[in-house]
Amino acid sequence: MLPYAPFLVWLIPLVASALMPLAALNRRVRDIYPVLVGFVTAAFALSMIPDVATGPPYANPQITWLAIPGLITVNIGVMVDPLSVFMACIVAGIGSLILLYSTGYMAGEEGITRYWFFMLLFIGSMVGLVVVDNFLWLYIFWEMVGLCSYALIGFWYKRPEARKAGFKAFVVTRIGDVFLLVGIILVFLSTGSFAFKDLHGALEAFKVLPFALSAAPFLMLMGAIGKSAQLPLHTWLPDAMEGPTPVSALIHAATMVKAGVYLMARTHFIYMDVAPDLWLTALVWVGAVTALITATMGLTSVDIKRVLAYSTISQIGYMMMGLGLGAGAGFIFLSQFHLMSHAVFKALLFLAAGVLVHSLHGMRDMRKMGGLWRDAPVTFYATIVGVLALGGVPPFNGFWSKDLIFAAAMETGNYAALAFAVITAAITLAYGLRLIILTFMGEKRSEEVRKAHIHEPGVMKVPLFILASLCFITGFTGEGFAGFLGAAHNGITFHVEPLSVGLSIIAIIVGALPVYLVYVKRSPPPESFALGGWGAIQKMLSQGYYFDKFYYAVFVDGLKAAVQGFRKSHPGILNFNMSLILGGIIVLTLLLLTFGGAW
Amino acid sequence: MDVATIGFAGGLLLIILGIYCLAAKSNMIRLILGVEILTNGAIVVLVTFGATPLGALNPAIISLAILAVGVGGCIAAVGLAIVIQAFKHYRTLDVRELKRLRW
Repeated sequence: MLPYAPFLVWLIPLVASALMPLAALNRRVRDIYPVLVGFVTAAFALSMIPDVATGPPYANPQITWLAIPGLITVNIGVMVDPLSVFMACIVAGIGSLILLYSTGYMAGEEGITRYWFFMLLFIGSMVGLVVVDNFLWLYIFWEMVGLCSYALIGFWYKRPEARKAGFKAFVVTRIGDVFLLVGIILVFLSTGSFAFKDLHGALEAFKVLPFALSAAPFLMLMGAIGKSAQLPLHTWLPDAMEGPTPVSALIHAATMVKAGVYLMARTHFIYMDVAPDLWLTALVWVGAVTALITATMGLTSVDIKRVLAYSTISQIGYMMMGLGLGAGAGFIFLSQFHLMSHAVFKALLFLAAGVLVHSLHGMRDMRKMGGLWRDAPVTFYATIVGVLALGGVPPFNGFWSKDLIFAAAMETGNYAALAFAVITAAITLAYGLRLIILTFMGEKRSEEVRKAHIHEPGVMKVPLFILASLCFITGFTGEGFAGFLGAAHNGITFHVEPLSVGLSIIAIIVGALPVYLVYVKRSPPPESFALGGWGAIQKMLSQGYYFDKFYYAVFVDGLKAAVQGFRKSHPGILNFNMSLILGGIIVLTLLLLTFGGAW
Repeated sequence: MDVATIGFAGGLLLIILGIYCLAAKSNMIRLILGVEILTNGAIVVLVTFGATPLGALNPAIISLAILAVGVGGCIAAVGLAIVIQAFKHYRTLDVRELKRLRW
């Protein structure tokens, strides 16, 4: 490990983000500096791997951050264990590639300094989130990544859709965050410490009665649902695609949305002690239902980035399911393996889509694209690799990780969840192939696409190439990875079941055949699905099962109508408001003086 | 009267002065002065609570107070920046002009 790596790995990007305005004084330094910081961070993160590869005991360096004698001592410490090192490597590694890609994508944008600042701040806080060893700092970083997400979705703040999308992401994730905060406070009240270790120790020693904590797992699950965009709080993620594409790739596909999965994996020991059956069932079903429902939404979306966003939600559903199935056996390898696969192939897909969106000046409508494979060959092949990995086609990484989830569902006898998983896998491949055919095949369907000059600069091709090769490589690391995450210490071995491989193959055929018939053979033609009964289904799917409409009607318009009555009491005159506050203080003081004699 | 009572009363007086300033004045720069008086009153009360019978002060409270002084400086800086922008926009320092910013 490089010296002080567990601390420097998140301090470097955080400090570097604060120095960004200085670096922006020189135009050349401005574009090289953040990429350099990204690669240094990645080097620090990767250097921690050998320290944890040998197994426990793991280092947990701490410093005292806040001490009020006799009241509270908060240590800030970092965990150097396989889970946090793995997550830090994903964040810093993919983050550095995306920073490199951004130098091409964001070249010449207005406000680029702000972009770099928030990207570096994001990488710093996200790495911080996954390496800290206590709930308090986890929550602080949790909010910081939320802030960066908001600011980067609304990066093009002059566009009203971007502003609205950022706002929506902020508000919807905040619902989950409040639940998480309450959960953390419950944990603190019952153990008197924020550290994961202390909580673990207290639970092991029966110092905490499990029922005192019985609400905490579910409150934290709500926090994870908000951050990881699971049903019913998923509506912010498709809208978040208004941000720049590298942001979608880094924050809304590869890293931040996995924070919920990380939280569940990190804290699963609480649930195992408190309410294992209920919690695991909840996790499996949140994941399974989300995976299936959002995959069907991806089938009808015509926006290239929204398809990928729905697919992200759906794949995170798989991770939740994998956690629910795998944590029962005492290890978290399933979800983390799929997390790694997904981070790689979804970042690849987003970056490939970004090449097109960038060249077409922000146009994302797939109905207007088509025939682009000749103009953008590298992007075309990258997308094919990404879609095959996403759809679980061997030998790409998505096949191996999805296959393990099928196998786990079979082993635990959860055949209902298995059915959900297999059907989702078929739909996943279907919308992936549909994306390729609509975007790259056939004829160019609009004037702007015919006129556009598609260019693939080198800085954008290199990350595509690296990620595409990782799609091959990481699939075969399953066994080593299982050992790395400590599954081997629990006596669990990595193996491939022939039956689940068969199910994967069936899902591939079932998913690919309809797409071939509809979009290649055109019998029936895709247009025929807009009519009659199919039309009603298509409308429902493209509206996202009316979740958005429902939320707007109840929470936005309903609340607006409810608070209109109070509007008169807000004249907007500061003096008036302050006079009322002064009056209130005086009345309260008088009441205290009169009736508060008891103390 | 002991030191704690005097400190507490002084702090309370500052807080009330600050709120009075916020309630009665409409010049934005005066309002920022009011906010500063208010926060400093709160800090005085905080420090008074940290006093022990022996006259020594609780170090945790002192560090919190120093932190609060720093934050107070930031508040003043940000507030003045907002005042400058508002002045550029409305050509006046009258806070009542900002009324249209209400929801």
